[in-house]
Amino acid sequence: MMDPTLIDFNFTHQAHWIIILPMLGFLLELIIGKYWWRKGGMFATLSILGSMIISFGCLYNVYVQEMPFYEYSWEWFYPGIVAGFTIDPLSLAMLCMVSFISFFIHFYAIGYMAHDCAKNVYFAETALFTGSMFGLILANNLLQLFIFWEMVGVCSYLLIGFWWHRPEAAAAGKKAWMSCAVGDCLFLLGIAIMFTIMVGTPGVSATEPISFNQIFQNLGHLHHAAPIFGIPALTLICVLFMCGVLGKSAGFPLHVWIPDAMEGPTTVSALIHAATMVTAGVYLIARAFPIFLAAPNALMIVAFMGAFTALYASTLGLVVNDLKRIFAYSTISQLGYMIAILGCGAVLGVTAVAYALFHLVAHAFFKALLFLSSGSVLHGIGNVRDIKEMGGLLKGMPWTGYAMLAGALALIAFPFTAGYYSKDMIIEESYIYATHGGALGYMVWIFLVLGVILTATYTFRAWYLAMTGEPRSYPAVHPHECGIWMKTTLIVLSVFALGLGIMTGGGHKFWDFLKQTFEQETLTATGAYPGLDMHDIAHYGGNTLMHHGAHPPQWVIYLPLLLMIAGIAIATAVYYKNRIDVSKYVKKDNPIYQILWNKYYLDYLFKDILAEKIIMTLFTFWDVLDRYVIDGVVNLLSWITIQSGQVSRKLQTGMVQNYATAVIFGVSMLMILVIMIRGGI
Amino acid sequence: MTLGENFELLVFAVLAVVLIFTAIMVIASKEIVHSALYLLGTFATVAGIYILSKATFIGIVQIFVYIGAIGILIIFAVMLTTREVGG
Amino acid sequence: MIPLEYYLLLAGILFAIGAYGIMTLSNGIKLLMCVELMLNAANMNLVAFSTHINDASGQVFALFSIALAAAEAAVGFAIILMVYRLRAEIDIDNVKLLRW
Repeated sequence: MMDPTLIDFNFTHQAHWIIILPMLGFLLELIIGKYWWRKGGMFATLSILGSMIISFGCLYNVYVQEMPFYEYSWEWFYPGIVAGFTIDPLSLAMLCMVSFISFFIHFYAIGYMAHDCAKNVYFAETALFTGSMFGLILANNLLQLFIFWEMVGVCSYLLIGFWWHRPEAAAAGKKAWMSCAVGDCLFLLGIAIMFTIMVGTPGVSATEPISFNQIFQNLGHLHHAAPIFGIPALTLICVLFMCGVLGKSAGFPLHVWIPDAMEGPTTVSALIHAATMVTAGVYLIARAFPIFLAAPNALMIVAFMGAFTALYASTLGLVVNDLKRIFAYSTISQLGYMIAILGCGAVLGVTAVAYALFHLVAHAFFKALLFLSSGSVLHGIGNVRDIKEMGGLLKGMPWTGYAMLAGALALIAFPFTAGYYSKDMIIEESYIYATHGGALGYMVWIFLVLGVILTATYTFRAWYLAMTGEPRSYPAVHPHECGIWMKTTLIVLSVFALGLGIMTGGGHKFWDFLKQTFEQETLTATGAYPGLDMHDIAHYGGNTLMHHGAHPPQWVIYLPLLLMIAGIAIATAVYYKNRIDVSKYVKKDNPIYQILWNKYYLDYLFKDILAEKIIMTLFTFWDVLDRYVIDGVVNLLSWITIQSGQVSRKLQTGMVQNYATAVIFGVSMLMILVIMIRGGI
Repeated sequence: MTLGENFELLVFAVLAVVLIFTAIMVIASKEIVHSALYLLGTFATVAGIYILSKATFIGIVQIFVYIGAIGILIIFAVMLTTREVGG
Repeated sequence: MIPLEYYLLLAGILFAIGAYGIMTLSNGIKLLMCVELMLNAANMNLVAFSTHINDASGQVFALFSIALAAAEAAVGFAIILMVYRLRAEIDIDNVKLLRW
């Protein structure tokens, strides 16, 4: 243990600099970045290094020195609308993870983007991206969170379409924006309803109606709020929040933007998938966890959507040939695991948040590693992304190859890697949820377990096809290894992807720290919010928390391990040893392959049916209405104005005498009127 | 009515007659220069009325500003715009 | 003491003469002269009331009015001069810049 008196500085009171520094980095990079060192990159990287130092300083304050959790808010533009930041284990875990990963991705990008002509713009945008994510994490109220949430969305749009001159990239950026916007609208609606019922519920004395702590303190009153459309108000709010989460965290059915988002630079994919974007949704559920817990049935929906997404995305990962897209589907799948375990919080309580966050952090490390190593592959063989055209790259780029292997092992939860501790715990705990949660609970568990074997298969399929065997195209014959910037990053991330679980004592240190989140009091500038009693809150939502940790049977603990080994075995047999020939199944006339290849026709449904048939038809009606009715009214008004002007312009004779006469006449009339009304002067 | 009041009334009557006459001549005279001079007369008469009604200061200001400044301004304007006398 | 009504009657007559001039005349300079007549009528009213109720504020208003009239006259005659320079005439019947 470190000496608690080693550093005598209260970083938690300087937490606003975590947001401000990257914003400064953004401005400097945009304005003068082009004329400095390597034409961009320095300001962004250094500013995020600064944020990282403050974040870890806050962690040191709270974890080692055991300072109280801290919340600061100041009034913004309307009584009760505040801006502020919260320092508690939840935000600290996210802050440290985001700043650390983002710093190393920036570090890597100095090498990766070295030859891009708009490098300073790229770094400005990533700095803004990271800064917005910090703002989202630190937000102590829903409105601030939503503003930064949208800023994250804007930055993802800009960065996915960074190579805008390629039409696919521009379209992908637009798709990301549109899919998120669907969820974000509903999320905003949820915030509005929350504001209304916070202000309108009798007994609520909220001075800051949408601050998280105020909402949590008043949950006892809020769950009496009148139902809306027959749905309990809190459940409706949570479902609307969940829609925002599905958009941002790429849950089914709004995940469609994730595979296309691979059109951006690989560092952007890494940033989106590991640190800054998709984790926002999971973080929102974790941050608003007491609200979900107090809302009847809300966590059940969360658990089911998460588990379904986890299984659904891993089936798609099996057939995709684009290296980056395979990892993209694995992200969707892993996010599904996180959302599912948060849903299991209906039984597990705040421990579920700890499990989800640990998987989130572990996932951030190994997914950043996977994306950065695939970026290195792309860099090395001239932007070939199809794994059918790779092969045998391990000889040419061993560093990259073994880094990717490390990431893959962590992803499939190979024993003693980071993913092993985080994901297996999720599956075990979901079994405990299942034993309390009935048929739907077992479905959640089955989905998660099935996801394990698929994950192992598709991950090793990608690794074997890319790294082993004979080169299958010309660029793959002579790959060149990446430079020192990128190699350093890969090594650091490999160490964490493999060792994070062991470093945190099998995750227990992390979980014990995170479990304190809602149940300890939070200091503010003027007072303190008392800790929440999660059992009471669970009762509001009809949930019952377990009082003591239950242990699942032994076979449940070993099942994921066996399935994972089975998955690796399948991948090895098919793609490494070539014992099984799958080519007779992988054909266009195989209906199952056809469905998977077309991503369950979801893109078809959204684009061809929903967008082009239904919405375009509605637009035609709207167009007629617009052209003839609305335009007609406008034209009528302008016609009346012109005609009345034509008539009344004759009054303007230009003769001063006429004007004077009119004035005198008018004044006389006025005086007569006054006399008539008042009966005298 | 005392003698003083009668005298005052007499002065007022004289000033009123002069005032109305000069004012009418301002708009009635053909020569614009005459108009201007009649206007100065009007101003002077009004100043007299002010002094008569015990507002001596305003009366003196009236003489300064109206006769001294505006009157000269008008005569200048007349001189600068009229081509020949009687035009 | 002259009754208040006499003053008011005299001011009314003066105002009417000025108003008549404004409505009928076409010479720009004469028009401005008539404006001055009307302003004088108004000032006379102020002074008369001020004397009548024995309160100096009416005179203060008259003073302001005089200052304003001086400024107005200066601007007005400047405009007339500019019009004369452009059109070589000051008959405002022919100067219809504001006509439709």
